[in-house]
Amino acid sequence: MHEVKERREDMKKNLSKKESRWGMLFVAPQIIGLIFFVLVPLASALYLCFCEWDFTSSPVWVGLKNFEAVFIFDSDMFFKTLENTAIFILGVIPLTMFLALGLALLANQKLKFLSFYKSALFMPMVTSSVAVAMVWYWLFAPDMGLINYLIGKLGLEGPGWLSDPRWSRVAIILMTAWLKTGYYFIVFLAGLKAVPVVYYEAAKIDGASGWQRFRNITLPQISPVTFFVFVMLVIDVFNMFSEAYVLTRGGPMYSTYTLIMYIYTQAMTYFNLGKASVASLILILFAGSISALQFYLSKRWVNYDA
Amino acid sequence: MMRKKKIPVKKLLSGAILAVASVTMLFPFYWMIKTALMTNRAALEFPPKLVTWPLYLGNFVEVFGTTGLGRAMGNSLLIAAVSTLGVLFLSSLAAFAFAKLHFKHSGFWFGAIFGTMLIPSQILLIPMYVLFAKIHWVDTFLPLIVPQIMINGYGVFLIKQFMAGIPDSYIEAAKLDGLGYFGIYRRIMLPLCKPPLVTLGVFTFVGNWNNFIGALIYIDSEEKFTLPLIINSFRTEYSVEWGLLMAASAISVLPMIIIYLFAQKSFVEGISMTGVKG
Amino acid sequence: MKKTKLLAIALCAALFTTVFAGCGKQGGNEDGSSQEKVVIDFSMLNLSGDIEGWTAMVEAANELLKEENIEISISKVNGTGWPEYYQKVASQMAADNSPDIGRIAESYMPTLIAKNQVVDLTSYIENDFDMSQYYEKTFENSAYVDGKYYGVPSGLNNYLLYYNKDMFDEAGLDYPSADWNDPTSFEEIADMARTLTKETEGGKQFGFYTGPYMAEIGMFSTSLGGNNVFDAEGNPSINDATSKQVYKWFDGMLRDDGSMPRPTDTAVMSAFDMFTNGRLAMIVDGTWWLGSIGSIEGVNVGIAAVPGAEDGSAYTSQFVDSFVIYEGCEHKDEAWKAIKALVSQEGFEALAATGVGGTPVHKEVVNAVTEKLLGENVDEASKKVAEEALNHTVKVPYNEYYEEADQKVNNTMDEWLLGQITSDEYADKVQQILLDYKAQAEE
Repeated sequence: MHEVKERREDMKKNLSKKESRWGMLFVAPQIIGLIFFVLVPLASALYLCFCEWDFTSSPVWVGLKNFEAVFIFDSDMFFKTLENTAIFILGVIPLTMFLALGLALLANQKLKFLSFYKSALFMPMVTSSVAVAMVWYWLFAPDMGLINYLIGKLGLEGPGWLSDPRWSRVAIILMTAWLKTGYYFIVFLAGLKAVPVVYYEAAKIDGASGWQRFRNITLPQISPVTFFVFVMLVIDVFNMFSEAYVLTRGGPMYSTYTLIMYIYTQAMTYFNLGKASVASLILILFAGSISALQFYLSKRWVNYDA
Repeated sequence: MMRKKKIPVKKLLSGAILAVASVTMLFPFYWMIKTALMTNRAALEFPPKLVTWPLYLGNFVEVFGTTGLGRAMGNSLLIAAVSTLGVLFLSSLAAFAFAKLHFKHSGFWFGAIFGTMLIPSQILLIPMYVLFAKIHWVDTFLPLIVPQIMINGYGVFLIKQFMAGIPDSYIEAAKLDGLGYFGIYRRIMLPLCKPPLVTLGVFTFVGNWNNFIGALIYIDSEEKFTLPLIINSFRTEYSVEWGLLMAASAISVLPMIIIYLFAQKSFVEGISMTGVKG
Repeated sequence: MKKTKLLAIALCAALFTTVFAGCGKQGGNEDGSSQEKVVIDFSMLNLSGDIEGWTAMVEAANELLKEENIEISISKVNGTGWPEYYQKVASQMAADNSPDIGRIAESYMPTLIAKNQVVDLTSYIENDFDMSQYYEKTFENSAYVDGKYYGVPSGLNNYLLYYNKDMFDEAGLDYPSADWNDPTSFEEIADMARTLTKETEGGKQFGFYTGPYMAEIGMFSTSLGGNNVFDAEGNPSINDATSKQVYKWFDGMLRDDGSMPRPTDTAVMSAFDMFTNGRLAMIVDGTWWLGSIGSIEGVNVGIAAVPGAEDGSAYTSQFVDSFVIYEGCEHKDEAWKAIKALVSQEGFEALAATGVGGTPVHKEVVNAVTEKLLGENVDEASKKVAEEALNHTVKVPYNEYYEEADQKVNNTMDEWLLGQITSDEYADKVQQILLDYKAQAEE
């Protein structure tokens, strides 16, 4: 009896060792990549936080000078970016999730032209961002854009959009939500497709209404996907750059200036890698804490079917 | 009480909403093609018309005649294809391990890999360039392919979320059938993950196809130029040649549309789970 | 499905190895020849309109360099403009991969010089260069600091006043003055602009445009007898009386009369595009547009001197791009010879034949370019104006912090344009920004 028990325990240990080994093997490439292509460059970038570098000789240690430059000298620009980020998070995320999930739910039926809809909604992803920016410019241009033209037809006067600090944010939020909806529509649709049809059938037999089915089956079943979308959207908002940059350059009066724009300008235009690294550090900490919070809270509402 | 007839109103309404959404999504694409078919001067006319006639083919002629366009497309295709396959394979493998296998510190490593997404690429650009220069990878395609294959927070996270939703019972059953871990990965997990794999594949391919800054920094020789580099040269120092730029962009978009249409078929219409239910 | 996946992976690996095999950067020298041929790597911004011009110049230069066994080889940088070019070159320098020579816009010179990224050419110019063949004043641009030369001009651009003759005829107005020594005054321009602004079917027609940016303020302020953004010691002086006068002039047109489109209005469709489409009557813009003016259709263009003081001259900002030797170059003497060959008469003639690169700084070649670019589209008087401009240029006061300060200045402009502060208050704000940046740069 003893022997059998021992052998079983041995087997378990061997199995879990085996599982352990395979697990580590599978993630090994990512870890190697992490070390060489992220940690090593990141370490140099963080070292540059404390240096000035003219590219032709070695970096020169300057202590906290870059921190001073970012927090004090550039303070109005820098803190504005934090404010803008917060506003964009509150604006873009709910809007995008609502649109993407809504459209995915609609597309999750047998409809005519469904393939066409799916292909069409995917389009912004492949269209050049220059074309996208142009179109949105024509829409929002204060004197002659399409939106104000339509508003004018209703007898009202449209706002200054891109020239008005308050409305420019609305314009950017609308444009970003529109852009991201296409991506996340596809993700949500994939998630919806993975929900076993039998659950719905069983619920219908039990007399559950559409709303009840949605709340008790769909939402929990796609919660891992929803979590993914939520987390990615936060990261996307922090990384908002190209189209907004083309439309407003961060103006008017820095109302649409994002942290990433600041980092980009410092790093790529003025080659102040020190300041860019400091700002990046802040971004990483800020985004990181939000993500950590999200992961922590996810234990409450994300349902992994096991 | 059971309703016997499905009310078509719901479907009609759904269709209508999707149709409106589709039109708005397609609009910039339409604008791009339309501008490509106009002369530069007509493109700046005001107010912009919805339809311009006659169509001007000169831009496309000039773009096709640009030296190096075909070769650039080939280069972009090579980079995008190799990267996509690599990313799909290595990310899904790691995602499987994180989702279903137990090993030491897996939570920590997942957090670290996920965390890479929070780092702005701009600050890594120069240090990475210096690193690659030291190992003589500059002016090759390697810096454009290898890093994203070897570390891909987005890919690992996306696939892991999907795999986590697959019942463990499938894996138990497969083990009983005698499958090793790689076998489970290959025969059970991958087929069930088609939708996120296709999603990841398309995103990765498109991202690589459009990658401008990477190509700018790492590629020196003309014969290695990729498509975004060619497209972005359709400017003079002080203005943009809209017609040419849009025509080049339109040509650039074409292969991706083709690929997406093929990928569409793999967006499996309803996966019916017939396996063991836990 | 599984077999195909394995096949795909195998294919992947095969491609991987082929790609790997084709790597490695070629060295600078060609070996195998008995004499050491030196190849000079010329990093060039490759924009569609310009490539033939510079290639032609390099070919002409290579002809001259044959006997010295030097060859210039072009490395194209495909970017959307100077920012990407500088990104590429700076990255290469950081990795000890620097190109030998290049051509770069004037606005980057202060940064390059401050960061020791370009070679001091003073001794070469003093000992191995025939300055008499060139317009010496043009060498005194931002590449010339503390008596040292860091670059050789590749071409000059300046501002001119382009105007739509038909609009003037229709409104019964006299054309703006073609005399640099007796230019149209600021008040007259404002009046003309007001008259020429109206609503038409195709949208609003504007009377005048030029960027209300620091460089322009400085240029106009100089003609009023004031400072060009900074005073003689390099201290910011953009809120002095003459500068404020210029800001007020802009204020009148932008906010009171509405005769000038705001910078936000020109985000996607530039002011120059408006001009070529017949929606703008006058524009002060650069000679880089001369080629476009020469081939414009539907607009009858005249060229005049830029606005100036009532009883004084007009001044136009000059933008001089330079050929430079990058600090990482390993064959500095040969690189200098290469540059000399590029700016030779033969080089400039080859360049001028294509109409690219702005006005050449070589005395023998100047007229050819204006002729070539403007062609039949513009009358003789206008062509003369363009040539005369070279005697009325003023430098753009670039320095280490100019670009960064300029960005901040432009971003704060909306407070003024939206009417929240007056133009005088804005001028004071700009002054403060400049002072702050100056203080920081001196730390």
